[in-house]
Amino acid sequence: MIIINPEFHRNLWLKFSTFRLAAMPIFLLGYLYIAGTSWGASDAVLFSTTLPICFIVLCIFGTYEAAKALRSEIKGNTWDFQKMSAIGPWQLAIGKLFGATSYAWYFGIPLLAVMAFNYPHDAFGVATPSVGVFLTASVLGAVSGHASALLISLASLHSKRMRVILPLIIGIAVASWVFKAIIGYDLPFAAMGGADGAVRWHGFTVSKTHFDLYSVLFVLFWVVVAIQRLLRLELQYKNAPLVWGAFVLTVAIYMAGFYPQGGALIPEKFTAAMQYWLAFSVVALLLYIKMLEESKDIMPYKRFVAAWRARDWSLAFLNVPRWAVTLCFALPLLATLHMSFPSEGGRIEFSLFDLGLGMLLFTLRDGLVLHAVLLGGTGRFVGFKLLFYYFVMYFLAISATLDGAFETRESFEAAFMSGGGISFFLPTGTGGFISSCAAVALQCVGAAWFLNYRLKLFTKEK
Amino acid sequence: MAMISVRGLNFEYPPQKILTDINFELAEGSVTALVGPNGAGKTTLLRCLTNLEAPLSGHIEVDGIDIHRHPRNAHRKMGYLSDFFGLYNDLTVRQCLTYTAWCQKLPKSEVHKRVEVVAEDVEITDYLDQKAGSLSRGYRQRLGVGMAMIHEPKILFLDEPASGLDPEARVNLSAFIVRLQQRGMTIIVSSHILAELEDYCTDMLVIRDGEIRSHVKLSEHQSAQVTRIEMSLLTQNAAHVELITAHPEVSQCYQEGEGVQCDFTGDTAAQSAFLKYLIQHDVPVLRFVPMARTLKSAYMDLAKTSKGEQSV
Repeated sequence: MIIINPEFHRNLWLKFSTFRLAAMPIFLLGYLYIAGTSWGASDAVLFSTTLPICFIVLCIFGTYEAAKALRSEIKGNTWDFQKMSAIGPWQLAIGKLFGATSYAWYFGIPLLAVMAFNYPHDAFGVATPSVGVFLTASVLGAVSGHASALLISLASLHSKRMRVILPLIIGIAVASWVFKAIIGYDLPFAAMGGADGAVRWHGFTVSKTHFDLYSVLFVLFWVVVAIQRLLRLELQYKNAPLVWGAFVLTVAIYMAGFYPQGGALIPEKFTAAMQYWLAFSVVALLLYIKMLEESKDIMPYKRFVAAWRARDWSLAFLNVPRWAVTLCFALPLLATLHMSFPSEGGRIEFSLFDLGLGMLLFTLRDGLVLHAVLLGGTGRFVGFKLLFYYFVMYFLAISATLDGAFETRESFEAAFMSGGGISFFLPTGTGGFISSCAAVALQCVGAAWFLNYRLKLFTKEK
Repeated sequence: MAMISVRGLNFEYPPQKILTDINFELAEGSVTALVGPNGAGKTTLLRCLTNLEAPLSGHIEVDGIDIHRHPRNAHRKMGYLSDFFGLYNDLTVRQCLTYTAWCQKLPKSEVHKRVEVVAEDVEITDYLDQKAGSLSRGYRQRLGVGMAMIHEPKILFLDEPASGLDPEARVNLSAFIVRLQQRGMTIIVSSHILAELEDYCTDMLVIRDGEIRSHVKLSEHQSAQVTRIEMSLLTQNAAHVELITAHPEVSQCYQEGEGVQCDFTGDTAAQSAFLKYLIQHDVPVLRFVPMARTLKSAYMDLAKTSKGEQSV
């Protein structure tokens, strides 16, 4: 017996009972017989009736199977056996991704073949893609959906409320997006494309279909890598922060390519600065997400401190908070922005650097407050605490500040440009360095004191 | 060289500290009873030893391998059966064992043979083609143990292996552990049922409130020839107890209701002389029973010395 992958093989055993093996050909033959006798076996009709069935089988059923693959291990108490085995994270990732969904593929591939043989030339009402593109879109769409569902369920593996429904919904959404993107009638970056159906990215001109295909492959690559990295942690390997760094870097480079080169909106001389700005914005967003995520678990910080005290530098490096790694990318980008996009004077003084610094400082403020509130807690009411914080800081406070701001030009400028109004609660980049950043810098000091106080209290309680 | 070496192990489930500064070494071929009250940290310690949980700090070496730096290499040396283990109920017993053998990267040519050998070892050969879900609790336990040792690990960790088993299955499990011990396997068993550990344990680790309170080497303990003597006296007063305690070969003396228990370090001749001594001093002895020191009595003695005594 040839063993390709133990986990894949186990799934084949579980998924393919005699009944299930027989069900597919019986269904398919019955379906084709009904189609032939009732609908006259027209290509277009057969294609359009098979498409939703294939969607249900590959996209919904396959994604459901992927979403519950890990849950069934946890529920059945079999996860420890896998964690104790010698199986590696790649084997486990591939085995689960394609093993858990194997029956969906067993059912879906013949349906895809039926559609390919009956592929009509006006299938999607737009410039019709070739059969090859259609099949690629279907397969990649399904794989992306399955992988996304597996990733989300893996990320929520230790959550008390591990559910199938959220990974399922996200997986189906991703699968649909990928399929539509490759088929071409719902380009994700259509606005960036030219009239000739091409996408300009970092100065290169690529056809929309190819660009979307590469984009999907890029996303899929990182989704599969993320699955593998999370499985590594489950198998008690330590993840070095290098892969996270590579992810931040490649996403920043990818997004920076979408600046509309040659557009009339912003002068040509600022092209480079705008690319840095796009890259910085993405990095700042990832920094915020990581700060929020890492504020909920004190253990990595404790492990970092314990390794540092033990002078175990390699272990300390492995436990470096990922937000700190992200910050290492944000700061040089911010410095580059400062050099490439000087402050614009005039009636409205605006600086991308001040805006960027403001974003970082607000991220730092929120990160410090959330760490203070969530670290060392019992993990209860996390969602409520977050919601309350964001409601107060980003709705109540801003609403109060903007009350009457849009009535006159003076009141608008007072709120947005003087630095004394909205810059307390949002990064604006207006009114000069002091006006736009001083208020949030003070808030950061206050948040740092609050975090210090909470940590001392927590240590004392223990 | 120690088969298992633990240094400075700390584990937390914030805000609770579960294990505090755990240090011990276990020799190759030893069978260790990990005992302690509920919530003492036994399962967490086992999960840290098997690298299923990442500790806050500390070093664990198994057969010379740092389990945190080389988790997969370490796992090849270990087998683990958790308290609440699960099986793939829709697979047959043979498929369960074969899958585990593949996962442990056994050479393909050896898998079939190894499955047969393990099935014979744990006495489930007759059930190889039955679904795991259809097995009784005892046979599920056997399959679980079989899966844990399919790759011939050097160390086997068993967390409450006898819980839920009927008396016959418990006897079989004990016999099986004795067989593994005879093959030189190092075993750590966490259990509440101390009487069953008696037959094969060489060491006892007592854990309480997340700390190792005692590491007793039972062989040394037994070679010290400490005998517990239980006595019943017709009338009991302080003078009688003082007289017993004053005897040079009595190391400890406990009063329990109408009875008195003491730890006696002498041999059988000395025990006879001790009885004569009591009678000569007009101690009204009704019953005089020398008992062998058991694991349970050793544990209870340790428990008595701790505050907040709890039953096991």
